[in-house]
Amino acid sequence: MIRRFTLISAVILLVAFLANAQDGPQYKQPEGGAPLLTGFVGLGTDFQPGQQQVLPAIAPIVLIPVGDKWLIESELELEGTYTHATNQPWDHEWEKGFEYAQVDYLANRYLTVVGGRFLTPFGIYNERLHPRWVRNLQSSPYITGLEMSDSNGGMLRGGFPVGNFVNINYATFFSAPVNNSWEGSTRAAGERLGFFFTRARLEIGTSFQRQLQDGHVNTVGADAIWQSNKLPLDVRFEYARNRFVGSGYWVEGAYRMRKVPFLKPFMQKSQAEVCFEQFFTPPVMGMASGDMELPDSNAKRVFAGSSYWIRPDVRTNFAYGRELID
Amino acid sequence: MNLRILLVVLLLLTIALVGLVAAQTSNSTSSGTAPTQQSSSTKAQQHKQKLHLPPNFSADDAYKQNCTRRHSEVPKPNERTSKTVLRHMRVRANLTQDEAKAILEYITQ
Repeated sequence: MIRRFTLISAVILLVAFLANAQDGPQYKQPEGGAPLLTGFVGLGTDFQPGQQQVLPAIAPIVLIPVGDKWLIESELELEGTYTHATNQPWDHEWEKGFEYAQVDYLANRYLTVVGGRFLTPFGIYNERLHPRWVRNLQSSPYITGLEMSDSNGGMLRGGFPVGNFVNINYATFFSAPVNNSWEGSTRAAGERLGFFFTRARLEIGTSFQRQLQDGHVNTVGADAIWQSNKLPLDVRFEYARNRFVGSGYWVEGAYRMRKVPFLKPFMQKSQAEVCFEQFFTPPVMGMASGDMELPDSNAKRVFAGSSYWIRPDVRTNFAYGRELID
Repeated sequence: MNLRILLVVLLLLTIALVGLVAAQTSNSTSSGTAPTQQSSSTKAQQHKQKLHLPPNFSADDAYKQNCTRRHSEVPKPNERTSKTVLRHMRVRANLTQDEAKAILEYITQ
């Protein structure tokens, strides 16, 4: 059994650092809104026994509304990894790629049509939580390795209320194979269906995707998000299973400490986070995990962390974790 | 053995969390929040009438139910770009049309 501890810290320097044309010529604001250039810059560190890493990241985001029903949006992400191992010189590499470069058409109140490169709608982490200024802990869960992160193709999605207590949201997609380091993807199709119980602030979702190249393989998932009505507490959960690659889950709790009665100036801008996750390899390895960055054997990991917002758009995060690999 | 250590760590964190929750609960019950709630309720009612929202649904609720589930801190919005951000979030978060309109009004007023 391998035991590792990890200490991770990160500073998300800027979340929304530039709105365009601040000092440009004055004109009547269009009904659909103004173009926006935004993004984030972050710097993280990761310390493990015998290895230290510095992890800079830059991600400019462009949002361009066209008329009342169209939106062109794109995020380019540049992630660096500077690694130092004991008795080894520093090594580094940069990953570059488009997270998404898509055109959205709001067809009607129930349907949005998306084309281009988009974040694959599977579970809750990839689409909603993976941006570094949104995620609570800087390390990604194991199971994100068996979920497709990006797709090139088309997607239909939307949300609508059913009665006064539940909103149903859906997303279904088809992705074409693209062999390109900046915007690669796999031929696949899938969907996510979510039920958001508004009064309880509980959302439960299921996901499915079928890989349509190199063998047809299914991946299924389930997720849940609950936010307390009475306490500043969030609980998130996600499960995914691919019978050839493995299965796993993560569960995370985050508590905003704004009403803690001591050290108020600090606590008002602080959050405590805990995440536990497990990954199970299949009894018989049917498919190499390849670039999926998954553990080779059963593993579990726990992280406890803390975030502090220097400003609403500048955040620091520290986390300490233990990882056990069989 | 290692699993035990993990469980102990989790147990300690849980105890700390419960302690913080208890402290906060006692603090909130002792402080007078009625005027704030009344003000919020009146404001929400005005939003509801203006947006023709369904019963039991307010702009305040729409914001809290959706935005705060992902964003712990939301920078002060720029009025010129709020519509753009809301259109992006309507797609990304699968907001309903009514929710998107309500949230837009909520954050720009």
